[in-house]
Amino acid sequence: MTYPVFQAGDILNASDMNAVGLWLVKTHTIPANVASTTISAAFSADYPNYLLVFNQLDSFSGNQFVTVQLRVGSTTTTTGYYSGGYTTSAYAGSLGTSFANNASAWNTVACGTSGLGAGYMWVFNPFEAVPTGYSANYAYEGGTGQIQGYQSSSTSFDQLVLAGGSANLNGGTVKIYGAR
Amino acid sequence: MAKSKQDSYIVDVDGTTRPATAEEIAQLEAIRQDPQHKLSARAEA
Repeated sequence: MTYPVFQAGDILNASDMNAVGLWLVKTHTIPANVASTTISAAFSADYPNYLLVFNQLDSFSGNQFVTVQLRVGSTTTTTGYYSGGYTTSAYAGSLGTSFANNASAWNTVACGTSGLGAGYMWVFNPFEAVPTGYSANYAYEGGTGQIQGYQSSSTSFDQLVLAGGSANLNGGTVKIYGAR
Repeated sequence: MAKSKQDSYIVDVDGTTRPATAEEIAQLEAIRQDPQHKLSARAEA
């Protein structure tokens, strides 16, 4: 067969399937009005890097970042988050910044109260025993942004904790894809 | 739903929803009060 075009009834050869770049690991729904939500079994030895796609993100109050903390077992890491990026206001045309130095979480994507937040976030080597990196881009009804950074510990993480940077989260979905 | 009052509920690792513990509330407040986690005022609509 001519990869990646498959026809009905084709044999799924290992060489073709192993060449597939992204696999859906899981879909997580953020409930209404929650202080935080934990995504279990997000990272594993199966993939070194992950793409998180956020959609229909909603804030309970005001415009805010979705913060992310890394977790393994019952332990959430609360220090050693570094990031830097730029934000814009979609309406005022102004440019802002976001910098975090040894903070308690990453700032990642953002949302307002109309449920229009969307974006993506690459996470690099979360399950490896090396520092974890990330790169996020987003747009929502209040603006846009891009932000990158890393978590400085060499812990192997398998979970994510999502919360709001200034208020509760109020809905949205997160699709997590593993990248070979 | 009406956005009137924020609840302190946590969606746990097994998908269940439960009230946040005092320790978890303190940790979330630490994030919310830290200016590093605020969207820049200039960037807000």
